[in-house]
Amino acid sequence: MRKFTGCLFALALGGGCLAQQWDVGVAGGLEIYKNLTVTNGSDQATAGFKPGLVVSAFAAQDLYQHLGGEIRYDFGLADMKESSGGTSVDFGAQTHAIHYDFMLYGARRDAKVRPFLLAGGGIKIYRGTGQEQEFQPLAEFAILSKTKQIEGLITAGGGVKFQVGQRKFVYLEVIDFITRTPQNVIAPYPPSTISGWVHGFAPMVALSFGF
Amino acid sequence: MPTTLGVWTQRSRFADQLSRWALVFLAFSLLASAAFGATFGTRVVLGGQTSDLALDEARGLVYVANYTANRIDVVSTSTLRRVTTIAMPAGPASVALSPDGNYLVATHMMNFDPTIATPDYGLSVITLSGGASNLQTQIVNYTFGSPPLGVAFGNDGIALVATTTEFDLFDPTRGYIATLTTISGIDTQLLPIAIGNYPADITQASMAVSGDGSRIFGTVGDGTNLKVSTDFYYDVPSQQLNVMGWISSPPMGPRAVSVDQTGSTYMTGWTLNRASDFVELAQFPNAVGTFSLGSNAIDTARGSIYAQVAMSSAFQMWPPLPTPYSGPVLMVTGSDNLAVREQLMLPENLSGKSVLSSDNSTMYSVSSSGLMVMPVGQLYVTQGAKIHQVASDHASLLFTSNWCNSTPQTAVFAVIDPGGATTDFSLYTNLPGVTLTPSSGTTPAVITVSVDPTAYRSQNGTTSGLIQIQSGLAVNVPVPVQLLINNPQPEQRGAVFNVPGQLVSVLADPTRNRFYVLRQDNDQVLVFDGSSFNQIAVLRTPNTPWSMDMTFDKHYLIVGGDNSQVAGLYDLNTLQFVRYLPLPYGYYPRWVAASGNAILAACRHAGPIHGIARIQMYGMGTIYPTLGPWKNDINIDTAIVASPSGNFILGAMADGRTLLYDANQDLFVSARNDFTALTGAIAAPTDDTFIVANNVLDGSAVPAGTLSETGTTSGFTMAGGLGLATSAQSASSPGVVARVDLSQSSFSVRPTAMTEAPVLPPSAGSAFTRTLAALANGNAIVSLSTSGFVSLASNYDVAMATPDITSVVSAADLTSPVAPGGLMSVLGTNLSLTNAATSTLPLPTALASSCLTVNGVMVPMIMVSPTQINGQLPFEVSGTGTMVLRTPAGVSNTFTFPIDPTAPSAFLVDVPDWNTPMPTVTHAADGELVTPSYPIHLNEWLAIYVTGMGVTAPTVATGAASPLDPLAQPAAAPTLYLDGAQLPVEFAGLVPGEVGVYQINVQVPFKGVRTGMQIPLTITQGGFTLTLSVRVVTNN
Repeated sequence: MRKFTGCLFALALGGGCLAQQWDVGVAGGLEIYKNLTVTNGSDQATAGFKPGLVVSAFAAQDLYQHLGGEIRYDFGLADMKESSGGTSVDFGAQTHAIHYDFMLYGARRDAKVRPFLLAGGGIKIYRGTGQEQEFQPLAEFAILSKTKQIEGLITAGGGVKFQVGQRKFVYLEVIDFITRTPQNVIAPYPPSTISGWVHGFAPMVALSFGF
Repeated sequence: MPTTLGVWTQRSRFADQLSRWALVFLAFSLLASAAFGATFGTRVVLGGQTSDLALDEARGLVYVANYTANRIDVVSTSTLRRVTTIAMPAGPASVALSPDGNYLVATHMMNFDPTIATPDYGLSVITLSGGASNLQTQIVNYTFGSPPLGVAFGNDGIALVATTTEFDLFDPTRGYIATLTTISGIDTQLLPIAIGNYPADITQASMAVSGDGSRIFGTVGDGTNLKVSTDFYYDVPSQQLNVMGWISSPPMGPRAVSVDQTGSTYMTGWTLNRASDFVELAQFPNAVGTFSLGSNAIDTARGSIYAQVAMSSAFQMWPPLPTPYSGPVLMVTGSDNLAVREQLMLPENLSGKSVLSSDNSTMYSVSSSGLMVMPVGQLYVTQGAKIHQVASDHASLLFTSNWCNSTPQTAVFAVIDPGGATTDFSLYTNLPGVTLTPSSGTTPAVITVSVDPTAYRSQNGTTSGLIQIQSGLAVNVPVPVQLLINNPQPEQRGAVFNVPGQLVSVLADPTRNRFYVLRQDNDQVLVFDGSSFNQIAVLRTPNTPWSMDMTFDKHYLIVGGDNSQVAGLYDLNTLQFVRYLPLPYGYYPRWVAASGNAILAACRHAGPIHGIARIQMYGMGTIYPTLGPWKNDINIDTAIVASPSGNFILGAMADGRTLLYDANQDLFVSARNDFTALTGAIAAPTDDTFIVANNVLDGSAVPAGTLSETGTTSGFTMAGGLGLATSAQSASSPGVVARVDLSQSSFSVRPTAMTEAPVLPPSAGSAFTRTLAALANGNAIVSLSTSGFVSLASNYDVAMATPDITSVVSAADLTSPVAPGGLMSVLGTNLSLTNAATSTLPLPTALASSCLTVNGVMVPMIMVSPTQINGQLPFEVSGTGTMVLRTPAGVSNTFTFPIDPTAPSAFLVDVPDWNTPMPTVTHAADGELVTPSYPIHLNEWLAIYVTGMGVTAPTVATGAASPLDPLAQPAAAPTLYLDGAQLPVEFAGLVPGEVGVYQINVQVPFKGVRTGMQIPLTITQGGFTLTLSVRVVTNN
């Protein structure tokens, strides 16, 4: 009864119970975006973001032996880019992402090495921060703009969680941040259109502390 | 002689009283001088009427023969006061000082009618000794059998005495008199004579000696017939006397003779003569021949003659004054042709002989009150002169405007004192729309002349006026500045060149790339380069030149004139004067024409019958006894011209008669009387076609047709196988140049308007004019005109497409309607021959010779091109606009278009690489244009630039830059919406410093506006709405 009660307590209080299974950490890596295609009649250009540093803060918990979750904030410094033919243009940009991911582990929670898959969702904010000009090259395709836009975020990825100390963990992971194209920030100039979704692949290393 | 002495004493006292009154008068004169000007020279009042003088420079004395006072007044040249007198037995008519200064010889002559009083005449020798302060005199009187008229010493110390019956040589040393020769027909007026006659009227004689003393000249009269006179000169070394009798009309007055340094020329009365053959080189026009009014002196060193001559009308320099100065005037002329260079106001009239000091600095003249002393040397001082003069450094100012130009034009000239003194002046002009800044002051001063061309919009030719100069101190008669305001329509042809003066004839040199222009007022031929139109030389001509022609071999130029007995001959290769070609005495070669055989002159004669003369290249010309079967009795105003082949010379007379000279036969083959009067152009373009006025004559001078010219014809020449004829209604009207096909029987003309009128008769004195010349290089045609000459390209009338206006839209976006004060674009074809733009403010109303009007109001323009003109729609127009464009190619169609009270339209700007122009919506923070790549952010300030917001308060002049303080705001306030959200307007109004550009400052709200690539921005003003599309984004 007591044990049951304890489990019930754990389920009821969640964090308090899981607090014993939490780890919080920071991560860093490089976010690599997949190019988008901008079409203007028969002409095409590629637009998107340049690879950029991404840093994260997260709090992960083990819900079960093989299921966990994390809530995570990611800040990315990835300039926008656009190119066509021999012309290219860059435009400063930042991203902010907040998402919750479920993590499916391939090993029990007390294992030293725990491969995992993750999937989740949240929001991602794109902010153009570059210097506006009366004319931006390749503007006939899309205009990289100094504005902000919030898009829904889907995350998917995987990695390995290593326990490197009594309360220390290291993550090696890859996350794909998936959003719709932020068409105010990367604004297609009529009649141009942009197709596809934004994929930001971010291989990262994370260090966390359990408690 | 006590009685005489008593009389003198009494006169002396009276004279003293006169002097006191004279001082009072002089004081008033000085007070009044500020308004009427000063005078040149100092009067020495001697209390009598003087007849002659002699200068004793060694003693500093002038001996003045005071004829009516029976004495010689001795005047100090330093104090200009009489130092003593020498009593004469009778009235001294003439005095002369021996070269060594020891003897003063005076002739005295009271030639009374013996039935009334005893005649008294003789010669006195006054032996002089001592100096000015202690002059001692001894007098020995000699009696003469006939009245001695004059005396002069040669450099041999022997005096030549002219009496009414003989010429005598008198040796004062020995008292020896020898008769040189006898003469008849010489006399004086018999005394007593009527009051109002003066010594020169009585003696009618004057004698003078050349500067080197080698020749003595004189003029004596007939006594009763005033028109009869005798000139003589005595050659001292050879003791030869040469005599020439004259009948002159008017009489040869003033009766004063002067001689140049070597005795090669002399001046008597109103004529300048050559000594060797008495040929009259020049004469003053309009002389009336008063014996006792005027004088002359030849300044050989300076090439000048100082003269006063009584004239029927005051002599007018060019440009003439509306009201000529009518007081006594000393003219300064050229010593070769009497061309007047300057006029000096005298305090009183001269009345006899003048002498110059040996350094030519001072002129002493017999004058009404006794003696006049004039510092002529001061006329040539360029710095620190002791006299005041005032003059302009420009003879004329030409303002070449354009019919559509509303911008005032400015030019500057300087008012100077040639002697470097500080002299007061004031300026006045009779032309409207002209301002002078400053209009008064002291020399030297730079004057800015501003002309408002709108005052001359109704004139499409050249308006001529004057800037008159007045001075209280200046002693000269100020010559006004001629103002010429040329205001042609754009389609008028020709470039105007300003050449001051009275231009009367033009002649193109067929073998040299030059043309020659006859300037009558200055007695000059001006030589111009045929390519640059620069003046390259000046040739001095006989007086009052009327015509010129080249010898058949084109080697020489011959110039004939109205006031010289000679024609001038000039080498065209060296551009040098060669020699005079004299005509028979009394004939003045007004018109000259050189055929392949004879060179003819149509002469004015001093008598009643004028004639055709044949000019000789060497020796004196001859008058044709007959013109073939006809009398050589032509009209005084007869013009002659030779055909280019040299085969014929056409003559035309103002009374309508014509002549034709066949050079090959040396015969006058035709003389006709087909017209009642003729005036205008004269030309002989071919051997079988001649032009007189607007008449075409055939090869027999028979009228063959007329040219349908309007106004008076002026010039005719051949160019490109066609005739060219010029004409005009008046000197201020536009000129007309017309192509004439002489091969067609109709002689139809194809007229083209010229920028200004050609010179029209009778402004040059003659009823006929030669004012058109086609240059030898084939590139240009020159037409003498009001301002100088007009050069026309040889293809001046090449066909050009006339402008056609197809639409009038806002210049901002080339689609919106237009509103008063807004910038507009005129679209069409052939709107301008060239591209031109300006940033000048106020905007000009003429650009690249294109001019635009709306409802008759001039349109300030910014840019012209063949297909588009940008300008400002005047604030003054409304309703329906009626637009007319004038270009050199012609006048456009009349285009009507609506004018909205307000019609704001944003400027569309081509941003590099944007395919679509962007409206001038800008970020207030940095002035950058709002574009899709630099979109509007919420909450930011915008500045929007538009045109067409209509009239403002305060009003701004059309074409002028908008003011900064106060700012000009539209009468109707605009309202603006962005995506339906009203934008608060902080300011709307004209942009200071710009023309027709309005600015609207607004703030974008923080919320309530959608973002997007194409968000509507509307500007509503006075019922007119402009909708723009802009990109709006949120702030990042």
